[in-house]
Amino acid sequence: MTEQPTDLPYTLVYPQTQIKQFWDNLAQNKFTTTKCPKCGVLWPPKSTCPNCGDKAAEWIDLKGTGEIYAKTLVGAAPPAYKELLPYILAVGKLDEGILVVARVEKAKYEDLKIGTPIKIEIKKSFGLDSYVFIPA
Amino acid sequence: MRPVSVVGVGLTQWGKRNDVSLGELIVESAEHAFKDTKGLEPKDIEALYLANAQSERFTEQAHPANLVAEFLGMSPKVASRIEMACASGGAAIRNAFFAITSGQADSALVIGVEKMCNVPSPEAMRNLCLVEDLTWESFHGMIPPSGFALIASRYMHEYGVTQEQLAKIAVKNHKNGSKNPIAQFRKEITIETVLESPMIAHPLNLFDCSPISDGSAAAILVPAKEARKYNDTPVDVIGSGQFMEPSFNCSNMQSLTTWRALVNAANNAYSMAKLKPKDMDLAETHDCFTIAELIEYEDLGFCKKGEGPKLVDSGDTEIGGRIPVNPSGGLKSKGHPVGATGVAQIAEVTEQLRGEGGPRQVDGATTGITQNLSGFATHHVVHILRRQN
Repeated sequence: MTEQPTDLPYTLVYPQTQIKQFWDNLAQNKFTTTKCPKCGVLWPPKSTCPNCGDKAAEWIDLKGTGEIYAKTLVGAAPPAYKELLPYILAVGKLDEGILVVARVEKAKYEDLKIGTPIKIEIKKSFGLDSYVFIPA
Repeated sequence: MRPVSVVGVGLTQWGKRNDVSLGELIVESAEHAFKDTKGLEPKDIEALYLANAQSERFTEQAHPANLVAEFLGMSPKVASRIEMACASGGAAIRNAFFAITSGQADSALVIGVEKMCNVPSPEAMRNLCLVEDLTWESFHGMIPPSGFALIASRYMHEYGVTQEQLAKIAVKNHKNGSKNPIAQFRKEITIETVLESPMIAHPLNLFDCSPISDGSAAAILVPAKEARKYNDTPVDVIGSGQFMEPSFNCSNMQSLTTWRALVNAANNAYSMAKLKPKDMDLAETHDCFTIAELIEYEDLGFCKKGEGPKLVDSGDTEIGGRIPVNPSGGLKSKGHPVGATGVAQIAEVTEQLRGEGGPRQVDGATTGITQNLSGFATHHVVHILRRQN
């Protein structure tokens, strides 16, 4: 069980034993998810496919590259996010076809368009293993 | 299935209500609803549904449905608190509809309530963040406005809409709300007010967003055959639909700009009512953010996909237009006490269909639709009401 940062708008990130592999992989600098043999790549990673209920999902490496699918510049947020303000939040469409939500760093909002190439950068956030997008 | 009618509705003043407790706020709307009937009393009610999202967080009081029983002196044989975040009210109405239509109860009271101004507004925002996916969205900085801002950016890309066109929705709803005595904000605004207000999450500014509010709303439902005993102008619930996408966060939504759950919920309600979108005389929709009302025009079938901005420009969603939307002022101007919103929509349409809309009356309205959503627009409840002949 990881120590939780205080004052965030959530209280439980860990444990998630069925997808512990995701956090273990992330700690080793690998961005991974699960793939259902019938339905394809799942996001967020799940041990049971939400579409067909199959429990045979396998862990796969993601390339970590894709493009901006939707974007916003957040100007106001609860105190937990104050240090980040203003921050860019995006839905990224990864090459494997999945939609992933993360902040975009090392970029100017004005330069980002729908379709702008991005990639995942693994880094800590609020003291926990996490990831952001950066321009590709 | 036996037909169901609304025979009483009631609303409290919405806004900041530091003058009352949670229980007192609940009683206020219920008393108005009972007064609206011919002689129904709390002891006559067989089924109670309390729509409330977060009384624990906002007022440190859990188990609020039982509180109602004590405050009103009633002992229902069916009682539940309904929690579906911002769609709690619509979901509670649907449960009451089921209780009556199935014959399990001969009378149902639905109360929606939220008392959000009890806590400082940063804390209220924090509470609302709990509706998002904690691990995969909130952790990364997703808050409710940013979710709808992402949707707006995608809509701009796929179909095109300007911030001015979105602002017109807020301007319309404030204009309507200025005529609603219970509304939180009774001040008209201009497009400039919206465009010059602080950015919350681009392209949405403060005046694109609904406020944090205290408020309560109530509705009393009975079998349609009995309705005239309790009200001279009963309003029948002729369509009810609800749908939830197999998706909690946005990653598994088929589209950010066509809300599958809304299309399905609306189709279910239209087909139950045997009516089409063009048969609606007015709509009360979930304008938590201006972009939401825009997409709702399309997914409720008031115009084709991508033509929402044109509908805004045409003025057809104004009172007096082809399909007036949110004559009450909507969430934007009337306020958004989360659990109360869906019940208040039923109250507004009921009053409109009775011809009791006062200065915001939609002339000759006989049929109306309500739409209430929650989460990342992944869950919707739709109801169609018609004045009983």
